[in-house]
Amino acid sequence: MTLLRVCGQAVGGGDPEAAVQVIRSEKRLQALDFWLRNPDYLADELITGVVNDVIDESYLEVAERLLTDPEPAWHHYPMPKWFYGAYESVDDAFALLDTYELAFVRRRGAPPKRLQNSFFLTQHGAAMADELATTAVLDWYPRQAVLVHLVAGDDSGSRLKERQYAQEAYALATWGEPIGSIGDQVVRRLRESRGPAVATVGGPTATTPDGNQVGDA
Amino acid sequence: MDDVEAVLAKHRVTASAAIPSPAYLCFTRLRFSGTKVLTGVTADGIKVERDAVTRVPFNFDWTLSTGLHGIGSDENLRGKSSTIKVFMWALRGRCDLKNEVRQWIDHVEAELVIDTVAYQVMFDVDHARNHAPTGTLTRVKPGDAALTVGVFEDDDQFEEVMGSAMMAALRLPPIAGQQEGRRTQHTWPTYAGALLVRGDNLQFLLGDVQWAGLPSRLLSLFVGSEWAAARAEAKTALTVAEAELARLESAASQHASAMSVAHAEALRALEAARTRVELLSATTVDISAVTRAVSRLSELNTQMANTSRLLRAAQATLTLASSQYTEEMKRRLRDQEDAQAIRFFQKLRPTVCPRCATPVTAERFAEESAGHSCSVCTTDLASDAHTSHLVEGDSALHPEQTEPGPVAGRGELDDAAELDEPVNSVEALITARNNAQAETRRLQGQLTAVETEIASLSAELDANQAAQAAVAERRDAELALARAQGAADALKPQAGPVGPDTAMMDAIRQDIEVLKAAEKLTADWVTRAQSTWLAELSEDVTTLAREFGFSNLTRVEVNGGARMRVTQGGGTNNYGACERGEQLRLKLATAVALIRQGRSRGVGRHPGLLFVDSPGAEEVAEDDFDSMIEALHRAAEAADIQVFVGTRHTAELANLLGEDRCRLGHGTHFVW
Repeated sequence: MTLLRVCGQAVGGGDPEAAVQVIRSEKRLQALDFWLRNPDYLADELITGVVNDVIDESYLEVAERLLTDPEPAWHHYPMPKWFYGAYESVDDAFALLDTYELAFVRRRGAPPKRLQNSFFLTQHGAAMADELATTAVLDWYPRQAVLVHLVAGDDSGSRLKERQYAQEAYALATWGEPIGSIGDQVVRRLRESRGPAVATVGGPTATTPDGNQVGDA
Repeated sequence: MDDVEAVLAKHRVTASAAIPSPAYLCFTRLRFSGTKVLTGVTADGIKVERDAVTRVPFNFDWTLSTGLHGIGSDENLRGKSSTIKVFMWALRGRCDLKNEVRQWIDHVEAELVIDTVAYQVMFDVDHARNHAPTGTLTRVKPGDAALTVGVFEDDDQFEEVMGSAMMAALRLPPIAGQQEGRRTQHTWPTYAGALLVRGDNLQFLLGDVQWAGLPSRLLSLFVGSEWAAARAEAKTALTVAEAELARLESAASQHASAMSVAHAEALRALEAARTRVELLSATTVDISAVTRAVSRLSELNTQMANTSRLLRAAQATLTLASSQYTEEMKRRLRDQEDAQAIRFFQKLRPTVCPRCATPVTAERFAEESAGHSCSVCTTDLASDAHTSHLVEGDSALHPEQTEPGPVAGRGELDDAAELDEPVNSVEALITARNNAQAETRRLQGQLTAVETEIASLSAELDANQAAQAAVAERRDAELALARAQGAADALKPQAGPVGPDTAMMDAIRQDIEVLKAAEKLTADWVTRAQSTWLAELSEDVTTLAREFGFSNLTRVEVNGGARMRVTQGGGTNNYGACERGEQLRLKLATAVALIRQGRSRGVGRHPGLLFVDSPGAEEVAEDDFDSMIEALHRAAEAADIQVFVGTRHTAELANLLGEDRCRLGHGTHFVW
């Protein structure tokens, strides 16, 4: 719901009347969800954005907090990797949202064209999402979603997947297993791009292979 | 005085002298037999073809008296010299015969008289044992039974037997002599050598042996000075002692110089070693510091290993504590989120069932309000489960920023224990994590400190590599110095005697003084006694030599050194510079004169026997030779001495002496 509210596009065209915002592919939704749930990958994207002069340099501090504050670590929900990268079924979540008329899913397209799920947010859902953003504890997600939207922009799901596959840990993750953390690697990268001493991540210390830095070539 | 006696005795110098009286030696018979093996000649000496071999048995038997005897042959190699050599063999026990001649002889008998005692030498030549003489020497005193004086089975024994017997019988003292500093004794063979005058060996006036001072000693003995023997002994003793002293002195000086060279060498080595030690000491190295560093380094390595191990453990603990803390916080966050989400969703009205999408009816909502059953699943809502999750605030989410203790905003919950527990567990986890972190930092600091110290020590040791080598080098140098010191001390010249016995050298020097005195004294006595005799001898020799055919001889002077100055035709020469014919006459004259003097004065020791072998017929004209032989014959008769002459002048011999006194090989014939 939060992702739809923050990252969703405005509806239009043949979209259901009840909807106000939409994410037009599950691939994109999964990619956005991955960043939402993995602060280290998100921080890395922020650094890449700063290095490429896409976003303001101040976001390095945001990235640093994502890496060093304990809270993001508590919100670290690794996702398993499947055929098309990180994936977790969204059916249950949308069933629940559907129950309260917050959001709903529609399949579109007919053979030979590929079926595509579209995720719609209702007017009521938008209002509730806004309320959620002011709710203690739960407001973390909307805040993170803002960052996710920042780094994701309007890239298609396929493009987002490409970007995520550029991370070695992501690309080399064993099929069916959770995708590992790249925290230490990102901390090093942050040091290189800024210079200040950055404390080690107080969060999960899953070992990460030393990969090539990406996105800043 | 006693000391002097002792010294003289020690050096074998006789300290008394008896007037020597001559003994008379005379052959009475010579008999020898065997088989000649002649090749290329017949028994009569006529040449035949070269390979012809003739075996000729012979038996030579000659009865003799005093006076001149002749052995002659018209040709050479007919047995003249061999005959004389058989005489000498029997007399001396030493054989000068050529090997093939010795092989011919099987048996020899010689009878001789010394004074009034008859001796018989009888031996076989054992051809199976390298022609060794085996036989006996027997003595027959008038009116006594024959006495075997000696038995011999080889050359050495024969010589020994004859030597000791003859020396005793003829009252001859051994002639003391020395050769290259060693004491030698000239005994019977030497004396006997003086009895033979050979035409081809004239260089010595007396005897046929050239040894230091021997002719003069022979002369002294023959001349008959009573001190001659003592003088010869003293002279020999002196020479031997001086040679010994010289040997010792040279050894001592060699030793001393060797020692001093070695000592100097050792001192040089010592100096070098000392310099080296000083040089190495100059580069002072704090060896103890290096040692300390090395041991400290090993301590530190151990420490580092331990610290690393502890650090790893602490890091593991920290990782565990951190992840546990994170997990715990995650769990609490999830609970809170769940609670918030429940509250959030509780405000909402479900419109459809999330499972089957069946719309939730108005009746259901009414039921829910009234009957407390869920409008979706009709579950009873009156349980605590739905309210226990309700919390307010998020203070528990930030325990580090709050005082430990009960969570603020406990809501409507009553169970304090339920509330304390999570906080406390978080507290415990934080404490554990912080402790682990502190421990990790502490250990990391320690490790860093250790590593720093190790690095600095290693650097120090690396820098001291050269120093360590220097330390080892200095240790070696100190050892070398100690060794050099020891060597130098050992080689230091001592105050006391070192090497050859200096005491012995001193004793010898003292002895030499004594011996010099003795030699001088006896020389004086001998010379004084001899001077008269030598003058008479010289006169006698001059007369005889002129008789023997040395017609232009003016004067002869024989001195104590058995040297002869010969004045003839206005010129004066030494004996050695005279012609061979002159030398022969002088030598013969000297021998005869010596015998005559001994006989006339009753002193001296010449046995009165003379052999003259092949007196150089080629150098002596026939009439000269005749007159010489004649003169010799007269002299021999007059002095009652036995003379044998071997010559090729057979006719003269036969005319002069008659057949009995001759053994001649006329024409080509052999003497035997």
